[in-house]
Amino acid sequence: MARLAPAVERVWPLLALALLVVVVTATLGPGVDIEIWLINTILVVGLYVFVGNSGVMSFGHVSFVALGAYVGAVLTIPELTKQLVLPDLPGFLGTVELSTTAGTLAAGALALVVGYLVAIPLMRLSGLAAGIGTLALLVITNNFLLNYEPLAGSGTLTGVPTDATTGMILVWLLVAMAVAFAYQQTRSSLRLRASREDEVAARAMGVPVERDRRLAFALSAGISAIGGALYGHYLGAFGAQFFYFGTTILIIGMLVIGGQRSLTGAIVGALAISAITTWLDRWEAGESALGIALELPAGSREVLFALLVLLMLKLRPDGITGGREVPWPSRWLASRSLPARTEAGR
Amino acid sequence: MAEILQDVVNAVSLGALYALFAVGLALVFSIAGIANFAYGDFAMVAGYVLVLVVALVWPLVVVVVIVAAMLLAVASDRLAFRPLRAADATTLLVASFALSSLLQHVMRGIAGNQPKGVDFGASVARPISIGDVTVPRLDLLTIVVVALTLLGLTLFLRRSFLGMQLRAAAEDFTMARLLGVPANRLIAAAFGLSGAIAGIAALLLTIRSGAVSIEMGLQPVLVAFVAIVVGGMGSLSAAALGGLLLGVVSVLLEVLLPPDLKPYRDAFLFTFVVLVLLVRPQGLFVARGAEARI
Repeated sequence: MARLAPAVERVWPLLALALLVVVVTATLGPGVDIEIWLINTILVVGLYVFVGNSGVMSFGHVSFVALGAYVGAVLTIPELTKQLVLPDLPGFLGTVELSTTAGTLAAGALALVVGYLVAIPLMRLSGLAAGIGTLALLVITNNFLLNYEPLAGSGTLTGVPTDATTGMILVWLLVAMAVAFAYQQTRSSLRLRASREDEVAARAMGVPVERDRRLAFALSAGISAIGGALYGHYLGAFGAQFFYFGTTILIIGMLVIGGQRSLTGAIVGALAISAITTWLDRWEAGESALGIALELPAGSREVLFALLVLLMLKLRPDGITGGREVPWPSRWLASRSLPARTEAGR
Repeated sequence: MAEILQDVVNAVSLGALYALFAVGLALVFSIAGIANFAYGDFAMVAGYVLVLVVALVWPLVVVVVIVAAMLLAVASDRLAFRPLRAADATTLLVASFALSSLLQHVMRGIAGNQPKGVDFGASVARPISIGDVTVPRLDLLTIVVVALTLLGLTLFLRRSFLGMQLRAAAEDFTMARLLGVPANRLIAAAFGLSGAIAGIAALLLTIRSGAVSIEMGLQPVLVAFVAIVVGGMGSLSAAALGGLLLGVVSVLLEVLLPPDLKPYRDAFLFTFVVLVLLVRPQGLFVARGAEARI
C-alpha cells in the first residue's frame, strides 16, 4: 500500500474524473441525452488540450469538429447509400467503407496532421492576433462546407451509420481524457504552461513556444475531430451550419465556466453546462425537470447560457475549479483540518 | 472602360462600408483593448429599430436609429464590459462572444427568426447614369456618408476636449489615467461613438439589402475584425485603411475569380488575411513597433 500510494496519487485526478464521468453516465444516462453530454465533453477536452496548456484562446476548433464529422461520415457510409446521398465524391472516397471505429480513428489521425499543418502559420501569431487567426480558420471552413456540393453543401448530410453507442462514446471520452492527462505530464506541456504564465520569460529561458504550441494544437485538433466523428455517428445526419458560432460559443463557454486551466475544469464545465441546458430545454418545452414545472419562452436557454458566461467571467474568471485538478483526498482533508498551513506543509 | 469604372465605384463603396465598421470597432479596441465581437449585433439591433420607426419622416428615422445604437453600446459597456475592466484581451473577446449570442437570441425571441423587409431609402437604391457609366446611387451615397462620418470623427478627435482625451487614452491608457482622464467615462464615450457608427452602418446596410435579419451583423463584424488586424491594431487610420483594402480585395476576388470558385470568395479573403498576418503580424499600416514593451 505504501508503495502503491504515490503511483495512484499521481494519476489520481484522472481516476477521479473517470469515475465521475462513469457515475454520471450510469446514474443520469437513461433519463437524458447522455451521448450528447459525453460528446460535448470530448469537444471541451479537445479544446482544453490547446487552450488550457498554452493560454491562447482558439475560436477555430469547431473546424476540426467539422473535419471529424465529415471525414468520419464519408469513410463509413455504405457504398450503396453513398451513391445516393453523396454521388459526386472524388476518387476512392466514393467506394471506401470502413467500420465506425476505424473511421473515427482515421478522422482523428487526419485532424492531427491537418492541425499540425494549420498551426505552422497560426502559431507564429500570438495573443489577440492568434485568436483572430483561429477565427479566420472557422470562417474559411464554414465557407467551404456551405458551398462544396460533393459534401452536401448547405443541405444536410444523411445516411451516416448511427451505431455510436453510449459505451463506445464513453470509451472514447476516457481515451481523450487519458491523452489530455498524459500530455499534461510531458515536458512540452510544462514548457507551454510556463509560457502561458509569462511568455517573455519562458522564451528567455529557451522555451520553443511555437513548437510546443503546434504540438498541443495538433493533439487537440485530433481529439476534437474524434468528437466530431462520434457526433455524426450518433445523430446520423448533420449540416454545415452546426459547425459555426453557436457550437463554438457553447464549447468555449463550457471550458471557461469549468475553468480553462485544468482538465478537471474542462470535465466539470462540460457536464455542468450540459446538465443545465438539458433542464432549460425541458422547461422551454413546457415539461418538468428537477421536479419543477416551468414554461420558459423559446431561446431562453441560449440567453441564460450567455448570461452565465458573462457572470462567471466577472465572479470567477478562473472558472468553477480555479485551475486546480481534483485534490488527493488525504491532502484535501489535511488542508481542511489545518487552517494555518505553513510553507513546509507539503 | 465603363465596366472597369463601375467595378472601381463598387469596390470603393464596399471598402468604405467595411472601413466604417472597422473604425467603429477600432475606436473601442484602441482605447479599452476590447475586441468587441458583439459590434455587428449593435448594427443588427439598430436595423430592427429601423423596422419599428420606418413610418416616421426620414431624418427622424436616421436620428432615432443612431441614438438607439449609441444607447445599446453604452449600456453594453456598463453591464457587460465594465465589470471586466481588469481582464485580459482574450477574456474580453469571450465576453463579447457571449454578449453577441445574448443580443441575437433576445432579438430572435422578440422579432422571430425570419428576415424582415424594410421599405427605407428605396429611392437611393436606383442606379444613376453619368455618361456611359451606370452606378447605383447607393454606392455614391455610401462613399459620401462614410467620408463625412470619418471627417466628422477626425474633427471631433482633433478639436474637442473629449476627443483629445480619447486620443491620449488610445496612445497610452495608463498614462492618461494618471493625468486625470476619467477612465470609465472615456470608455463609455468610445462605446457611444462606436455605437453611433454602428447605427450609420446599419442604415447603409439595410438600404443595401432591403431587409434586416438576426445574422446581418455577422459578416460585417468578421470583416471589421480582420480589417483591424490587417490594418494594424490600435490605430484608427490603420483600421480604416485595412477596411478599405478588404473591400477592394473582396470586389477584386468577385471580379477575377472563375465562376466555379466564386462561392468561396470569403475563404480566399480570410486566407489572404492569414497570409498578411504571417508577413506582418503587427499589421500593414503600423510604422512604429506596436508590440507591448516589457
